[in-house]
Amino acid sequence: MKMLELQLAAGATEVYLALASGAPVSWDALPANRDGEPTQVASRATLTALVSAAHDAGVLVHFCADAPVVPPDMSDEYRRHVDLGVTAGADTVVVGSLAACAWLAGSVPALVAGDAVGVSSVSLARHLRDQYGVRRVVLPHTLALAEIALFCTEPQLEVETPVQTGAGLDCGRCRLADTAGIGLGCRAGYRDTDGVDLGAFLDGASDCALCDVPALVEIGVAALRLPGRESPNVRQNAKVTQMYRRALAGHAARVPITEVIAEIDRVELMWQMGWLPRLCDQQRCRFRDTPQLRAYV
Amino acid sequence: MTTEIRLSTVDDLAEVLRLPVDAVGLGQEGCLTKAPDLDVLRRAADAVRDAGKQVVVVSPIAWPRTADTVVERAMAVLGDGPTTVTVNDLGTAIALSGSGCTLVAGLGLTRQRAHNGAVAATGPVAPVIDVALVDTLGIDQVEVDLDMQLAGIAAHRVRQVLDAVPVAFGRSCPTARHARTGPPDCRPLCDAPRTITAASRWKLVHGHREPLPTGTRALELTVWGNGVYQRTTGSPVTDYQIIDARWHPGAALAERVTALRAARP
Repeated sequence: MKMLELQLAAGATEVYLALASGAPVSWDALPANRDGEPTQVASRATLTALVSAAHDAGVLVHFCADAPVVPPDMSDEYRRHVDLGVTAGADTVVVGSLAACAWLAGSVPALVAGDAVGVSSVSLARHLRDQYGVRRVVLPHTLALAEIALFCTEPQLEVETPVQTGAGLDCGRCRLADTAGIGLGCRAGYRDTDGVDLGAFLDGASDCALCDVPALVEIGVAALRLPGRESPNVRQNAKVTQMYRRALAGHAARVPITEVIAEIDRVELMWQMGWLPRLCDQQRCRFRDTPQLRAYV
Repeated sequence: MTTEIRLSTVDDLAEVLRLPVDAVGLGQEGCLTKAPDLDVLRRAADAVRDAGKQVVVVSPIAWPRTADTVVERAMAVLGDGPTTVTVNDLGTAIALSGSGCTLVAGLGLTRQRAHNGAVAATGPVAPVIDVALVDTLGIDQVEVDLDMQLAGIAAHRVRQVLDAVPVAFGRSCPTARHARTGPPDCRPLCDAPRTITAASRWKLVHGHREPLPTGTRALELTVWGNGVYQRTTGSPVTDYQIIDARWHPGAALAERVTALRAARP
């Protein structure tokens, strides 16, 4: 509830929620705990309360049932879990596999193809819309701005893109997450066989898209997904949301993004301590010409 | 029993065609830039057919800017003669369904790992095959690696990739990025592997890297271009076995084929 309150105060207009199930596998795209912190709402009662609070604030609620795979013989259990989210009042169900699209088409309020589906081509997005009635696709972390624009030309399909999270690896096919003792293997530090420190050799994350918020709006992106469940830093996440809301509001008011960022720079300690050394100085720009993007296959 | 040798380049094709194998796979899952160009691919496929072996085209995972090319290359080869296409992404699979070729769901599609649902869990659950996915696609042949549980897949024909399992593919290629370059200039860089070992971990809660806890099992990975692999030593249990030639340079490839054939019941 605290995370919801902070996100609402920061300017979020949609939220993602997931529900703990007690099953041996998670029914969404995150493990039940990451780095020791829970990622799912603990009970149905709390889920219903959160949905109600979000709706009271005029905020859309997505129920995450975006498991990248449903093990054989567990599809009935998965579907019962989805029903819990729908019953709690969620506005959409986010799925993570083609099979889930097929199972749930027409039986839930609205279908969102989450990034676990791996919608990496426009033809696939069309197929999901036409075949299963998918209303929105969440694109992979690793698309260039021009690639996102291709999806935005499709009629009757909303495009959501993650920002401020990510990795240079293809997250939908990564088996390095939650490695025992290591955690996110994509962000671990590595050495080669000679003992040379390679730093974060696999980490090609291009996190920050703040400078490109106007461009994302102009090409027709419907939603920006910001860190929430993915990160235990509740207050920092809310601050991130607040900065993107400033950028969106600034663009709507025709204020150049450079001026918006200059204002953030003037008032936000987190920008000076966090963004500048970690993101700007490291060129961790989601859509700019950086070594990370020049290495896109 | 079928043995396939998979080649990420066609440089050693002539030698491979002399080996007692049944099929030759051309390409790899990770990167279109590393895949043979269309003309080279078609000539190689013809040579494989002329040698009396089956042609398998391995289509790399497609991205928006490469999706059309991936499909066009596969269509061109299958227009020349009997071809099996191993698909590694949904868009390509859907585009090629009904094209007349034999479709196989590759490791980019089938190797899935559900996340752990237990709050007290300290690691992931074992990978499983996404049976529902291949059934939804109407594909009856699947590629798996030796670490995969085969539960629920009995109704499908299973091909096992030996020697290593892919654990990640970079969209931002780590090999190219490390060399401060990118496609197409990076093409020669992934002819040699890089072995890396995890030395520190990154913590979400504070965003810094810290030493690995005492007793953490070593994580050793091999990086070929944008593909990240872990070696595996399991034994195959199906009658279609795939040898990735990258792991057996020079004479070692023939030795691997001989050993595999000798181990057949």
